[in-house]
Amino acid sequence: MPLADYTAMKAKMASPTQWLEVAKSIAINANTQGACGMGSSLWKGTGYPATGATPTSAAVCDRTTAGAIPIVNASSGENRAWLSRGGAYTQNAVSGVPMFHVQLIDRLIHSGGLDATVATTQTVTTPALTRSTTGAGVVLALQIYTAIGATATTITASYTNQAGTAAQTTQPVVWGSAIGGQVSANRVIPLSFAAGDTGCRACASVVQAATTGTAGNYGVLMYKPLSPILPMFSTPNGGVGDPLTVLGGYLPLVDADACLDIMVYSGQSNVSMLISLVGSMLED
Amino acid sequence: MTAFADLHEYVNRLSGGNSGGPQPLFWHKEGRVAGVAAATPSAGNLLSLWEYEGAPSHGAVPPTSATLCDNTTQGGWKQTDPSGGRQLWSGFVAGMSNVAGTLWLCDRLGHISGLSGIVNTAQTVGITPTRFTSGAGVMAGIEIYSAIGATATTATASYTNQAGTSGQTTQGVAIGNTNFKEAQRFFPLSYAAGDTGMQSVASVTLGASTLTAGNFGVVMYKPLVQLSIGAASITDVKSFVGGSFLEYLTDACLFWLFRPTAGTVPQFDFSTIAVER
Repeated sequence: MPLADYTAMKAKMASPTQWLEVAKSIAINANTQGACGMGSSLWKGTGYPATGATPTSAAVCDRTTAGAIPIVNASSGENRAWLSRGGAYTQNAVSGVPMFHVQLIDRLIHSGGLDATVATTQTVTTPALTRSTTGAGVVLALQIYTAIGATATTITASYTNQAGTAAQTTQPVVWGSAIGGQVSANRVIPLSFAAGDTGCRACASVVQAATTGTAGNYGVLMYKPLSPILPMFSTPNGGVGDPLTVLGGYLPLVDADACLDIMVYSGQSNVSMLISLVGSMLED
Repeated sequence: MTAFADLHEYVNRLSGGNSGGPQPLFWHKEGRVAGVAAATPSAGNLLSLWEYEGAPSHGAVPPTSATLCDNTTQGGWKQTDPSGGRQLWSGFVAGMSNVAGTLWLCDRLGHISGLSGIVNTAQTVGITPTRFTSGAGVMAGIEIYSAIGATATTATASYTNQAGTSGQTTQGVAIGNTNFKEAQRFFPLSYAAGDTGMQSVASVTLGASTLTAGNFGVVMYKPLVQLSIGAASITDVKSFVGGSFLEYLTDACLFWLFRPTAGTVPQFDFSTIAVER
């Protein structure tokens, strides 16, 4: 249900229906500097909410999946998320005041168990989407659960696009390069769609051009970005912001049963971080 | 139609009321073109992200005849046009890169490729946009798709200005030679004295051969908003609430230009919200 006006928006922000809380410790960019701007998922971080399991076969994620930020479905209307405050605390000595960014995502489908030494097609076969079912705006990415090798190669995936056309092939992206920390656990690497595509409904398989040298463990992640990538400073009082002054009033809709996760983008290399976020859900 | 009457109306339409049809749009771009690393940028020189791969997908090298661009053109942000006589307005635009620099979100009005870096006579362009038809603030640039030669020269274009005066000639811009010949480089053309816009571009002429044909073209575009990436991995967000809302014209083909401060192949994440009114 739409918000009636700004007065109604303020009232709901003052009286949220539920809180979103995240306090997780995670290692990011374990490799040399150059990984700035590449995202890492908090899924496997330790703290609150509980550490997400490393997936095996491809599976739908929802709000009951261990690791999801706990939410309750809206009782009658729709939920909107507001990340109101956050901070990042580095456990390494860093100079200056590093900038970090966070993004709220809906983790739609994930898989694991892929081997980064295999240079032949590895089957993924994702189940049908239960949210964002058209695939429009759904990002197809790879998530690393155990570090892969540092021998650079490329990787592609076979997927069904937003129009339902199967056997599309992503453009090759760099895979296994030590440059940019792409081999690290927790790294999420978006794949580039084939010409003309704007989304993904399913992923059938991935194939590497060559081995990275280390099997590691990685999988496919299909997710829907919900918030823009929001800046935070590495101070205890870092803020995410007032949606009106920062984000044009945008409070992202959260689908029923969404599996909320946080992507972190580090402005600093080789850090272990504690990410703390507080937000709320506004039901309209 | 005009932009929102007040903040109350904006919030209502932003949340889907009154046929606001809000479109949150996201765009990840890799520093890769045609399946390989993009040409290495050079600090201070503008590059076009048109061919940069990502989600949504990259743009193709334009056709060799003048072609108008719209919201369905491969390589644009592909937002849905407004309906019911409404217009499309942006509440904010955000961008992040792992390389510091300046970003411009632009409406790509029309383009052409297939021009040769070894021809020093007038090469036909023939672009007449159907958006921003007054020409006010409309610019043209040279975009390189395959590297041209290492011999430095200049390029000018013949155009019709914002007052409808044809046969105007842009000031010469440097082209060819290192940092001015590589793929994805973009060179805005400078107006003739007194001009403030372009209604069409008729042709482009190189002062001399660059010694490699390569493939370059002309893009007519309207800059919409500028973002400053102050340092690697810093986001810039421009919120239009409280000021003047940015309109995405019906059929707008939204694309990005970037002027990096370092010669590192960049990658990007962008977001915006578009609302109908």
